[in-house]
Amino acid sequence: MLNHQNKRFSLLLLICALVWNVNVNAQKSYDIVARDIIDHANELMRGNTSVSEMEMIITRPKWNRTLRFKSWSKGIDYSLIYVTYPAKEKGQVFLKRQKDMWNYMPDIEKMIKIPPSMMMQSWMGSDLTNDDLVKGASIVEDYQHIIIKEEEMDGYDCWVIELIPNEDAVVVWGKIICWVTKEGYMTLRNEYYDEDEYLVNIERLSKIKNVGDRLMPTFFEIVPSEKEGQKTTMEFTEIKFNAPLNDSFFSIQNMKRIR
Amino acid sequence: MRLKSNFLSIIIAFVFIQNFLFLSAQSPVEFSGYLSEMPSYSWQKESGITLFDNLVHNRINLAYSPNDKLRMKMEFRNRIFWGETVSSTPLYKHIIGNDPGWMDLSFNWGSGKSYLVNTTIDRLSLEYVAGNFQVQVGRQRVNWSQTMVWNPNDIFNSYSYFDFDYVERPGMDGVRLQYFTGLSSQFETVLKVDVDNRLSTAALYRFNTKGYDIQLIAGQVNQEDYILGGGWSGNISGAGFYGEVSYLSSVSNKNDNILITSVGGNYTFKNSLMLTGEYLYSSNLKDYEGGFAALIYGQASIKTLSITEHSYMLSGAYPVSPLLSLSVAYMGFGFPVFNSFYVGPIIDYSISDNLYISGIFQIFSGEIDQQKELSALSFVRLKWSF
Repeated sequence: MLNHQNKRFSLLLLICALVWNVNVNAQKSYDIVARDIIDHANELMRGNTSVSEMEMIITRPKWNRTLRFKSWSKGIDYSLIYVTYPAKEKGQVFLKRQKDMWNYMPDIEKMIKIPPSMMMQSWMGSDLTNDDLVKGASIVEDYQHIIIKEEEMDGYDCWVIELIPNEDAVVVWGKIICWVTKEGYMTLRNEYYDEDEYLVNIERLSKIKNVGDRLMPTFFEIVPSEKEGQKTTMEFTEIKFNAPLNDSFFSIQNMKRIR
Repeated sequence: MRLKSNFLSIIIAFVFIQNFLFLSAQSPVEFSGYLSEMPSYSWQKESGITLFDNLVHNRINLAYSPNDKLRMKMEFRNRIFWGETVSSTPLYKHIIGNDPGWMDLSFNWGSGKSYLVNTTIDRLSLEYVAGNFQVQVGRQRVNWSQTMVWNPNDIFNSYSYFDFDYVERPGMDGVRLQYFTGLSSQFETVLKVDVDNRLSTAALYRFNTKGYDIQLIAGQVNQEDYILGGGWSGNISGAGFYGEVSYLSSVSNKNDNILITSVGGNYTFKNSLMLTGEYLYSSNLKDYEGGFAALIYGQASIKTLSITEHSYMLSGAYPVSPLLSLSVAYMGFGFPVFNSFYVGPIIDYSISDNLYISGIFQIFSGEIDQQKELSALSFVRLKWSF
């Protein structure tokens, strides 16, 4: 169960960093430089707005399942997700506006207001919860950061930064170690540890591509350290930053019309 | 009139198919659906009747949007019924072939002693969008429900909780105008015409405030009743909290008033276990004499959402793994003692991304008008979505 939660949380961080904007407030920090690096790394994965298409594959020893979706986001307040695969779920839409979240199911033409407790429910049967998709702790705000060493990773010079959660932060991890490239602030690897400093998940980021206005990893692989044959991968098949998106894009009307 | 509406519907369908085929090469076309195979077995204790049936069910959804203002939609279901229900019910083909809408879009293609082939078009509409304004004409589903089981606000197409194999529900024939007054508020009016040329007209205003979706409705249903109602969806301490109220006042008899209200909630635990509860009060069902059969096969109106004045539902759903989910629902009918109850366990298993197998059981037990009733229905469904 812990591993399950951990896996979810790593996905949460990933999603936060990639799809949704993470709230960054100026705040006293442990290590300004390290914090700044994480802030930049985080910034790389967001923009004022983002429009993307993703594919998620859940792999287990005996089966795997694929989920594809389109996603639009603006700031930390607005987001819209449209599921494109599998056929059974195609057309489902999730809309988040500030604290409100809705789910629209086109086959029954019904809109459901998602209550906070349902946010913990698995999203579309995946390892993600609804909460993972829209809320998310901040790897900038909820942790203190220290550069512990510098080393080469996949041919890039990297800072290796340790993240320890703030005492009052509601997070699952006891510690996260991040490898961030000195050039371009790209995160290449994250290691997630539980409260007993036991390594739970390893996340590798690869397929570095120029996505238009920036160079960034577009493929993420999360492997639980103790579960053989299990992994979850996510890949941006499309991503575009800072495209103009009106607030009205994130409306009930558009939720029912988006395709 | 019936002939006329039938003729009209065929013209619409023809134009639609022609456009669809002609333009599908250009791609603003959507195509989806499913195919399912479902054997079932039902048993009734008192009569000793057992029925073995099989249903092959195919649904096709087509949509064509030549631009972002216009959208044509046609959806239909093809069903092949075979078994003892068909052979023991002489009127079965008429029940299935009878379309309650203004247009007759239910076609029996073939029938024999123990089989029936039917196609029913349940969506056939044209939608036009101009900014915040939307108009949809034709056969469509207007879903005003907020609660999960009993929907007193869903006045155009009441939902039968037990008809699990038809979540889309029939469409209604008419016109729907929607005006979106804000990011999460809208005003809507609907005109419906049914098979007997009876009109229903109603308006809805929906808005969001302090974490709640709230709707108010007013209108007239089937030229029989005036309706005033409302519904809400929100949360209390994280648990979903929703409800619907409808007050019906008879057009002809001022003393014949009905209050129907449902209130419910759900809570999802961190392990994804979801518990749901709902209560229905229906003042007109004090002396209702319909039994379970009416509950299962009836429900064309919000007036007969249940069989007793007070009804309760509790359910739990738990995804054991991303592939396997279990759920069970319990309903109690009556107050203070549940004279009757329903239990419905469901198992869903994902064989592949697009293939699911489900086991569905429905057990009804109780005492209706001092008559004991016990019946059980079981279904196995293999469903491929495309």
